[in-house]
Amino acid sequence: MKACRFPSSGGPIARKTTPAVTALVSAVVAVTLALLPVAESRAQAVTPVKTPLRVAYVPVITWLISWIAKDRGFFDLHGLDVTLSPIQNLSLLPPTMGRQFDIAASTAPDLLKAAASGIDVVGVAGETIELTANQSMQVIVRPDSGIRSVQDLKGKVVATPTIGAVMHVATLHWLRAGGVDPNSIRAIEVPFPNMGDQLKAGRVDALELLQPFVGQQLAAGNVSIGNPLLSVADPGLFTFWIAQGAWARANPAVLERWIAALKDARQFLETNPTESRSILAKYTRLPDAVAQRIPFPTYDTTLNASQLEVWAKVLRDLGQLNAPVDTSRLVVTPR
Amino acid sequence: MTGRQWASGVGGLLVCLAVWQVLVGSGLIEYDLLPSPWTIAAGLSTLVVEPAFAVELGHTLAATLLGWLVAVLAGTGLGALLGTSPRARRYCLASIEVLRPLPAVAFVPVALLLFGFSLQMELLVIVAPALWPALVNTMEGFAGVPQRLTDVAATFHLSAGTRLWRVYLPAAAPAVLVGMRLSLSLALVMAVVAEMVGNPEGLGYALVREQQALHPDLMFGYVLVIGVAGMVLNGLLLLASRFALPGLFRRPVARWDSA
Repeated sequence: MKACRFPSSGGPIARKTTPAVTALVSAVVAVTLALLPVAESRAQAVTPVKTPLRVAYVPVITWLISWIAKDRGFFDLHGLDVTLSPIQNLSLLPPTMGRQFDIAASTAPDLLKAAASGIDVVGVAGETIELTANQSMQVIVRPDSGIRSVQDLKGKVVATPTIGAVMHVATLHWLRAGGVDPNSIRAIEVPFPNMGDQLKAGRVDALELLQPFVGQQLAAGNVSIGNPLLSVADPGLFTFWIAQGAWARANPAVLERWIAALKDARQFLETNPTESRSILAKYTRLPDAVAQRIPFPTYDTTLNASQLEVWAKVLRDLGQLNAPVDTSRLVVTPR
Repeated sequence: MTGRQWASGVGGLLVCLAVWQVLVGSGLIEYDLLPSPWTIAAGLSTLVVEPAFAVELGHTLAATLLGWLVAVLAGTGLGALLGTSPRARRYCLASIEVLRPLPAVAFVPVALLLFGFSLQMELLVIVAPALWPALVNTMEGFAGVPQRLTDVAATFHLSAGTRLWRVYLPAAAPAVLVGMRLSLSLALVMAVVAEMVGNPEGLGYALVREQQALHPDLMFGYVLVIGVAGMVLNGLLLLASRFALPGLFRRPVARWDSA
């Protein structure tokens, strides 16, 4: 909430002023107020009107190119007036589409579950993909845990950022594909920064971790036993942008400009990694040492229904998608 | 509280902090997310001078007080009605007992659907649980007014307003005040919770943000600030009630002496 301060009116000085001065000041104020609309309309005539866009993101490196587009003026360049709002939990975002936000950060399980429950929400642009050559997720265990592969996770306690969200869904699929009953593990929700301490204290056996925390844990001597996201698809869809379906279908030109700005930002990231990292530090508030070392994920603004269908199958196999969902109608991107 | 009580209270706290400092400082306890009290103090000193800190503190305090005010107005009003009318109690008490234990955090998704990430959403999450202590305590206070007092009021044919103002309120004031204090501390807790899981503003959001940004010193700094804010709010409420209800706070020792 912003505090409002009004300049104090009255007081000893005001009382000393003569009526003539008061009249003069009032006249000047009146004329200024009368002229304001004229000046404003002139200003509008000079600069073309930008499309306002309300966008929600999560303050993690995944959404970096949208911050670059904002800070380096790529949104402005493409005629978009973007307001970025940080949100901690992206699972809460689908119902706010078209109400509080126009475009928001999301993942396949969040979109598919929202669509299955009747919310009019669609994917509009890709953000990051996961592939062998550049991995952001790993399942981390202690070196002395005796856990060497997914099969050893049977009956273990696994720390996850959010039960029901993309990383845990991928982990359950990974277990199932590895011949382990997903119900045999016990999942506990732990915020990423706390996971290392929980592993050290022996409260959990394995961590579903993302960069930069993966790097930290590997540096601390812990080991990775694999990347569940790659068991879903390689390369596979990890994160993307969503919007209200009706809005997306009615605004293909806006989406085209949104994607163009993101592409410009990705180009900027490739040629100016140092400056990009300072933008990263600004939005995530990560310590400089971390912001300088964290590996960039693979940004890719393309998004198609077949990528979503892979996730829909994963969710159906796990029994997490109970209503039928037509993924071909869940992606609205400009031609 | 006497000076000696203060001294022993602060002394106990200092011993705890010293043990914590030694355990973490010596490396006996080594966790990434558990800094020493000294590191937290250093973080706190950089935190409180940031302009954003005042905005965050202001937001949480405003949400807490606004939510508390609504909860207390509604709670004492309904509580007074239920306390004075056995029939109203008969019809409503079961519903109240069902609604009272519902965890307010469960309302967050509903509140988000209704109001988005906003102050209104936060207020809903604050008011829903903070209402009950005010309501239940006021109800008990009003229902427990001694019958001889109500009999006297009836004998004198006092009007409803006079009865409320001169008989019920003074007799029920201690219970109402307890309800208001419980509501206030609950309102602060719920404001922080609503900011942590929903509305991205204020101290609660800042706490999560610093945790995610790997600044445990600042995170614990915010925890400390929230604790102090709770203490200050409670202190101010007690001070205000001392002025409003001076009779309540006459020290028992003095009363026995003068008797």
